[in-house]
Amino acid sequence: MAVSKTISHPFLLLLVLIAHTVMLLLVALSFGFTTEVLKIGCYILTADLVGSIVLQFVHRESCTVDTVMLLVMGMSTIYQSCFGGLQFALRHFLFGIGAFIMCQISYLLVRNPYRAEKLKPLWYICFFLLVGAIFALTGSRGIWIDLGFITLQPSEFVKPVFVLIAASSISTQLHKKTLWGIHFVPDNLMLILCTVVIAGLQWYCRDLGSLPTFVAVAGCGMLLRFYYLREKMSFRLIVFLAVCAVGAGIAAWNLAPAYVQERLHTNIWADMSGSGYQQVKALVAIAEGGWFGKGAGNGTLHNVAASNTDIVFSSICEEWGLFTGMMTVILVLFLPMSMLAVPPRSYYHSGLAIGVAAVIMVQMTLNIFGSCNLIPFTGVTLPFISQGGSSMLSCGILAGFLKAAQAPVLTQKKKAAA
Amino acid sequence: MDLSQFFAQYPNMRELLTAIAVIFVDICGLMILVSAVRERAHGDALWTREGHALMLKCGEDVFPLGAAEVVIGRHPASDIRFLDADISRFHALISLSNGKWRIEDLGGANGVTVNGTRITAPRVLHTSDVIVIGKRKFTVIKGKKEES
Repeated sequence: MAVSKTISHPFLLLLVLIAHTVMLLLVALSFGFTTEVLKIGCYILTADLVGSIVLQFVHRESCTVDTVMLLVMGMSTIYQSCFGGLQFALRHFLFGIGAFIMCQISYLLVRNPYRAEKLKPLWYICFFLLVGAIFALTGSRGIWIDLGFITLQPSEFVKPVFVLIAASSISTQLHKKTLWGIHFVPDNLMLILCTVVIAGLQWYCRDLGSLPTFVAVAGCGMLLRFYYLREKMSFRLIVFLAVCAVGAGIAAWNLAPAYVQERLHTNIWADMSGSGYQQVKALVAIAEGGWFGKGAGNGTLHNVAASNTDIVFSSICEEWGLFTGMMTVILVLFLPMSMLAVPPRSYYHSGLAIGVAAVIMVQMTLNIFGSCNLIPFTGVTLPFISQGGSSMLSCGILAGFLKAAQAPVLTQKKKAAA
Repeated sequence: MDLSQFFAQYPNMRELLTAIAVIFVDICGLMILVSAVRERAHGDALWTREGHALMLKCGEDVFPLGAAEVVIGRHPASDIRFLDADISRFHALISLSNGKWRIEDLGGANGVTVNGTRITAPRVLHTSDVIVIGKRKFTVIKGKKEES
């Protein structure tokens, strides 16, 4: 069979460059060809070129994830630079570069599924170290660690480690242990334990917004375990799982703490200046933006708290229009969707890819639907778009897992003959 | 002429440019998708080429290890299926990673033997290795790598 040629990376880069240039022209339309616009343009287009050159030196059979990242990072830097007036979002840009580097590192770490599975004890150690750090260094009402020059949100870094834990124990499903006549798989118990630990910790920190993400990763990991080695899902099992899910949902709804209950039952239109303030402003901003937006920098949502993080979708829609907002969402969705085009080739990488897809999809759902008042407002970030270093770096690591699933290491490099 | 004055003459210019930007980004996304689909074909071809580096010979039958992970067992979903009573539903898994084929016992009652030794951990396969699963005896033979 002849090995077909892939589309050349320089061609894709050219398209990315054109897309960013047209967006920069739109910025120039609002602000004129000022020094700041030229500065933003230089930084973004140079990053595209340098990123592409770096990729030529990194082992790769797949460039889908990298190209989407370059495209989305550049777009999000342009968005973030324009909210509330033109000022280059250097911090966001640098964290974008950091995410790109983390993507390459995590790719190199897990591209060999055999080696990555053997590192399972390391993932457990990382998980409990991070949990310990959150418990010890953040308060019961805070999720940030202030290092002076930078503030870190360790719970963001738990996400990739949790995805690794969920994926790295799927292949042990047939190695059951028996204790007092009960058959069990130790790794499944560990996954349940990790889920309970993270849920307890989030309850303690009053940061339940990320809990659906972890539950989704654990749920996907468990589903893959049921399917392990091509088992068919029985009707009884589907009914059982559905009953469990509904039961868990009802229990969570009723047992949620007071501040969550308030959000679940709030009518934002009845309390527009109180608990519904952010969502009302976000919805009005989307409506005012229309299909094509008010123009870069012409929005008013920047006066509302978390306009560039939790309600960033509304900020984009207000300044750039609903078309651009939806297009941005679709581009980020390209990352998890790309695994349909290039399916993983091992159980381990399948687990990783599904875990990453769960994180990205759930976070996007919570962020966008929360902004639009379709679900209660949770305050999670929009992957790759929202401002926030920890979230950006964590997303970079997750993107590396996807890249590893699409381009696993196939062959050993032959040593040159002496 | 100042840019804002120029565009003030064309009130719909911003909408037009926004639409052009959206179209360009969409084209970019579409090409990334096309690239991903072509990468799949490229990856499939590479995988098949590597996978055919080794084959399993059992009597007169030859099984190329072309799939990503090859399951040997009695289950209908197994890649190499035998209906022998002494072979478990999912008996052994052969997988390719970093250029090495490995065999792993999936916990079958009768185990997997390679060159007379029952394996307890994944083991790298080499040409001429003899694998015994149930009463079946497989010999690892060199396949023919397909040319690119």
